[in-house]
Amino acid sequence: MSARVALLLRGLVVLAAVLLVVTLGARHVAVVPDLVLVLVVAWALLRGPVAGAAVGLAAGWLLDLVPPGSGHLGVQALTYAVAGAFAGRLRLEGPVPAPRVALVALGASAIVEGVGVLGALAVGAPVDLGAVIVQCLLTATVAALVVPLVVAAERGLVRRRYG
Amino acid sequence: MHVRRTPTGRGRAVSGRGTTTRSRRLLAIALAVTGLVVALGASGAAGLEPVRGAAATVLGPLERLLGPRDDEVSAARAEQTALATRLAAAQREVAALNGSAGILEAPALAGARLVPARVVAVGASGPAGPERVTIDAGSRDGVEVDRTVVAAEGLVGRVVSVAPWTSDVLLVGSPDLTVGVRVGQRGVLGEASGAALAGGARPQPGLLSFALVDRGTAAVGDAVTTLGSVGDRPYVPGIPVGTVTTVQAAGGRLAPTGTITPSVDPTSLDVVAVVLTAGRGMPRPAATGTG
Repeated sequence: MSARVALLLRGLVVLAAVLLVVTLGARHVAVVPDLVLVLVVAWALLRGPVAGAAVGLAAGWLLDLVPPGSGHLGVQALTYAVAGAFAGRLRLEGPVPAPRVALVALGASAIVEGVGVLGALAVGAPVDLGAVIVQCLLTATVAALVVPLVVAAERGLVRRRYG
Repeated sequence: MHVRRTPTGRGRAVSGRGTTTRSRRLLAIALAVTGLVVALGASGAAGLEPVRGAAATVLGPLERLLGPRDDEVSAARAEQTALATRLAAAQREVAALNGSAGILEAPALAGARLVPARVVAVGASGPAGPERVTIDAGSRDGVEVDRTVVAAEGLVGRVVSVAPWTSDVLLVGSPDLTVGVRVGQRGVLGEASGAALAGGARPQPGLLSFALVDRGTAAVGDAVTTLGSVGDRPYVPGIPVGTVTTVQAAGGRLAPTGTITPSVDPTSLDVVAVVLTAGRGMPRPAATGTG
């Protein structure tokens, strides 16, 4: 499998996650975990801060553009880039234990939600701190479960490419 | 403390470093372009609607496919929405007739078309709930930017972006949305917003803040309806917005402020309708004094 096909495959996975998140919202799921951030954290933990920021930027742009998108184009992209770079800084060589994955995802989620909270405070909008914390904890829990699957899939891809 | 494993093999390490420098440079360029887009959007110097529209044209049909499907319940809800909206318009007309003996004989929603639509996607939730949703009606159904979106309970929001098959709706409760309102029986003028209005306190999550624009009174329990806009865009008049929940005295200010409980719960939206009014084409008859 060529590198280009692998890249396309990753892009499709992120697009599927974005579509899943927005359509789950329309089905009245109360709290939707930030699946896009989970993917960004997984790839950042595998490849480091530069790749993490790049993946975060691309995924954030998808979140900005997939309808209904965000109010201000590009803000999600920059936010997820920062979260990806943060997760990449905490990369370890070798297998990463699940509690560490959860903590990294919690930090990245706090960055993403924190930007939203600051934006709301700046314009005098209400902030539901309880809901924000539940969202962060849920995203961290899902990350601890999903990141090992993504890492295994990536290892499989690499193995297939290099034999 | 952990030790980073250094790449083995000289050739591999050199090529790895070269790739890293190039990818760093690419990332820096991409970040700079994104920053520029944010600055352009924030300053309003350039319209970025075409970018959004192109994405919605491609991805909208996909969302319609993946979103919730129509069933008997949604058909009933669509009918309920249409009836409730006509009733709100009729009530406003009766109130106007009682007040001013029918000076304005053109009812606002006469000949209005209600395009029923289903919410197929809900945007990333803000710190106090969802702010934008996508509905499965677009420019091919006649939906335009700055049209009122209603549900059976009342005002949902306004259309902010239109693609051929879908449109994006800014919800009541979003800090970016402010709507002119009439409060109570006497129809005191004011405005309502998801963010704190000038002089008012920050509303609780799920509530709207309102401020009366002139000396007037509001009481807890007063019904709040839309004031209406010129040409009915973005808001048609007489649509329920909510009920007054708290009122703060005008201490030091001209008019009281307070909070409104919105009549539509943005977290449980399913079937909504876009109100397409034709606008008044006939000149109004001039009234002659009879005294």
